[in-house]
Amino acid sequence: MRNVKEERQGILVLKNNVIFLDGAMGTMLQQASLAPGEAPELYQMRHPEVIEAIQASYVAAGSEIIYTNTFGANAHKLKDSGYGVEQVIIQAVQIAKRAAQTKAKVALSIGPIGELLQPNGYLSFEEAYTIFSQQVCAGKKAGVDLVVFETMSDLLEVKAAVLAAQENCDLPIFVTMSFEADGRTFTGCSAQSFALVADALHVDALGINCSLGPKELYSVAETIRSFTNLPMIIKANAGLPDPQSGAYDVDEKTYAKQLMNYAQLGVCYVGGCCGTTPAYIKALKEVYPKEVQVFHQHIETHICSATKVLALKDVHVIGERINPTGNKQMKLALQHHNYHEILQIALAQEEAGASILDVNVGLPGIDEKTCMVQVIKELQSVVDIPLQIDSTDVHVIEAALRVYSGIPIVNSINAEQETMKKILPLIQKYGACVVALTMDERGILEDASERVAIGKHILEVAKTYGIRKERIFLDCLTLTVSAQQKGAMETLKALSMIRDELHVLSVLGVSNISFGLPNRIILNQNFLTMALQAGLNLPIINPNQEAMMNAVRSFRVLTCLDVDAQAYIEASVVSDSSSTLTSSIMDIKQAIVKGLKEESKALTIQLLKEKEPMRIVDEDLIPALDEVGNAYEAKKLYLPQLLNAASAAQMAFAQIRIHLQAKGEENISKGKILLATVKGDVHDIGKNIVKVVLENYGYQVFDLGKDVPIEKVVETAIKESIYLIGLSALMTTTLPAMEATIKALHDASHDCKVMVGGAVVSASYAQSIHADFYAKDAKQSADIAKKVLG
Amino acid sequence: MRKVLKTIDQKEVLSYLQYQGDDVNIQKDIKEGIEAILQVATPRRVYKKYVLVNGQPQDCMFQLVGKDIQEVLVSSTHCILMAATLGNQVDVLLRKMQVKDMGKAFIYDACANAAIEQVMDDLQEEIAQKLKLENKFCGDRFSCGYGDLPIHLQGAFLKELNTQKQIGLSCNEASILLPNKSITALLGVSNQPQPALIKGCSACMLYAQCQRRKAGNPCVKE
Repeated sequence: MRNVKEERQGILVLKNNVIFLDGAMGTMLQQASLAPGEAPELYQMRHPEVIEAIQASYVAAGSEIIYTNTFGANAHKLKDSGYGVEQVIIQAVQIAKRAAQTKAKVALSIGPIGELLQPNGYLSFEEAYTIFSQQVCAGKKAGVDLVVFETMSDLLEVKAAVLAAQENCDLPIFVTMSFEADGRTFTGCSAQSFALVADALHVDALGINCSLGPKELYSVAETIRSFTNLPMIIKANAGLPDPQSGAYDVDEKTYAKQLMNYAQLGVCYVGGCCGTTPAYIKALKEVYPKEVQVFHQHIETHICSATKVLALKDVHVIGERINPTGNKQMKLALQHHNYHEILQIALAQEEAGASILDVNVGLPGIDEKTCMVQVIKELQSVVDIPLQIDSTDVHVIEAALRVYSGIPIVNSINAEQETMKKILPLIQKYGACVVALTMDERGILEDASERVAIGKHILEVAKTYGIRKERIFLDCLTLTVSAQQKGAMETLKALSMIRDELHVLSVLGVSNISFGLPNRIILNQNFLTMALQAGLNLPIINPNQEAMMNAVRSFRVLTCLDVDAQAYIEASVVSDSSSTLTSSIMDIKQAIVKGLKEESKALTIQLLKEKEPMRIVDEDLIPALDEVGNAYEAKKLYLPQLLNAASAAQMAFAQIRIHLQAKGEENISKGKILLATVKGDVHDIGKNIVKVVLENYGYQVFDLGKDVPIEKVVETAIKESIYLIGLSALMTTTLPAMEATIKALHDASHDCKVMVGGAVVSASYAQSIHADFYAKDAKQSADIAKKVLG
Repeated sequence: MRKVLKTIDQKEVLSYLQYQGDDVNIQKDIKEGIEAILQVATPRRVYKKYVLVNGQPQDCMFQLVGKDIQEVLVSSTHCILMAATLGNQVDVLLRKMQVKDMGKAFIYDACANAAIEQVMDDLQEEIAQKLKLENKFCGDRFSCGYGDLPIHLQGAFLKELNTQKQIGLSCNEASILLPNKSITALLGVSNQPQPALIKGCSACMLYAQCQRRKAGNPCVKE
């Protein structure tokens, strides 16, 4: 197989393995005549000779790679400048090439876009990819030698950047992020996650630039090194700046001396960032070794999100609940794009002790690819733990791999040739881990050793794609004991063989064992314990079933994985405290009014044994909510109490829903309401408060979230036949979007009522933009809903 | 820079919540919220001093617009632009809480508001101490969006302080700060102590939209 990476790196082979980069451009320009706030890229259009002179001085000082003056030359930042991206980049590359002559290589410098990606900001992954692609294509056309993404802060933006470079050119790709002393970037990305993800995406070198001096950044570099063997880059600042004058406090000799420590980490691309000048590069060149060690350390298998890294070595639970198969609640959530409910299930699993979440959205009649991408985006906005992408459709898998910022597991491949041929290249390209089912065209074979042989075959095929066996988790499949009783022992035998003969990790969906038998949880729990003892590493289970988590926790204590039984003790304390209810004689109304969540749940379960669900809603829950609402209006209760009561009522409603679903009856719905925070606005806490209250009154809320495009409101209202629309805005700057949304609803001739609210909205403003109602708070929105929908 | 925020004043949290009750569960949630915010917040601040000529900061990439800010700066020789943020992880925590428990989310949100105000108060106090050594005094904070100082100056304000690079703070086209729990403000610096800008509710420019006043809990007692 052609080794593209070696070919790419071939471009950079110079005499020694240490290569000197350049220092700051901005600092030098400020010393020249750059006006405060003026973009260096625009300055260059007027003064190309100044840029060339600075770059030539770096080459004279010994820089072997110089960066083009294109840090901010992207479509977003150049928007109103009068210059095009290609125009600026081509000129910058020409200047750099003149300065470099034959003595240095030219790197296309690309900084962050300048607008945060979702979920922290507004820019979508796809838009970011397009912006970076344009820059890379321009650089390639102009003839750069390599591409450098620098000063990055968001791991998802790094991913969009690297993919844009890989898919639009064959040049070497360098990436550096900016870290604070705590080892995290401004967006919270950890040095560990960065090292793992950049390595998995096959960049050619990675490291750190900007933010702090060499001394402060050393521990971050150490962390990065312990997670990758790739060539490393350091471009630190000249110490720390004086807040008023902006002058840096480390001189060139000290900088060079401090940077020398990095040689022992094998850092082979060395230069400087803010505050450094050609004198720093010259000083560095005098003292930094010409050769450094190339690292070949053994690095354990990890998966990660942008913020959390998981070393896979013993036992970790994969939560199985995000899966519509046999789960009506999840089916409805996916059909109605009710991502809030999916997020609740995700967080409940995380809290119960899952280390990884399986994500399956396969459901007849929905667009699996679009849905998977949306669910992954939503999940990574609140969930810390890594995800497992569960689909058999290669297009769905790839779409998910692109937008997930960390290193996920893909679930799954099997030994069918076609499957491996389609999916393994994706596993390699995106650096993911993969679950491999030990079955092939013949189906599931009975004998354990036959399944293990299939597993071995998969490992061998994967190797030809460059995938190490540590990244493949074998699933030797659980058969149902009610149908194939002898199958259980074969599965257990296979688990041990995978551990002892193939030395790879194993994964297993456990609960299938008990299908068709009573008291399934008993069988599941015992089979899980046996499987763990046989060597299972990654059980796929429902972590919200206490019996299952107890089995895992006990196993971890008994096998000394949980040292001093710390985790076990901690979990026991939590479950004890949550099971003590304050009063057993309290009625449901009191429990809700007092905002007691666990009590409300327990009392509802009790009540459902003797009373019709609808009567509970009408006679207990709604009156309780009315009582709280009235007390709130009379200022006897405050908003936090109103919300706690609403949360308690939600627990009661959830029980009623489960009860109805179990009996196959329809949910209670008093009517549909659409809620959205308007385009441009991200403050949605008010809208979320309204949602909780409306849901408690039995309305079905379609929550489109925040920053919602006008068309999406109109489209959903029409498609779902929703006749009450609630819009919120918190900023004066986003009020026009509210007005435009109402106008679009009217223009579409959709016969609906619109209520508006939010800190800056008033009754008179509501009237002026032709809203039908102004809701001053959540309680009033419920009153309006009653009036419109009954 | 990390340990800027040591504690969050419970009284401030209560005033953001507009809450005057004595429910023990609420007290417990506030305590929990304060701890959670302190744990994930990465407070960062930045500021810069400018000479004023005809009410305009010199060597600054934008001009101050409107008459209200000129009233604020009427006796000032300099002004200070300042910005602070609690960092992105606070936004993530608040998103998470809104999924888990709306009641708690509301309380956590108030804790974060009190926290960022605290960070700004502390920074302002530090600046005032430094100015004192030069025999100078600073007045109250004034922000884009107050009175007739347009909110859309926010972008230029942030660019001037290079906040994206310095403290990870930016804004979108609607001038919404990202991370959300952030504040930018302007201080006047003069040679004599300055009278309080907020003289009471009736003179305040935030009169119409002020939630504290509406709740009967104004920040300045008249």
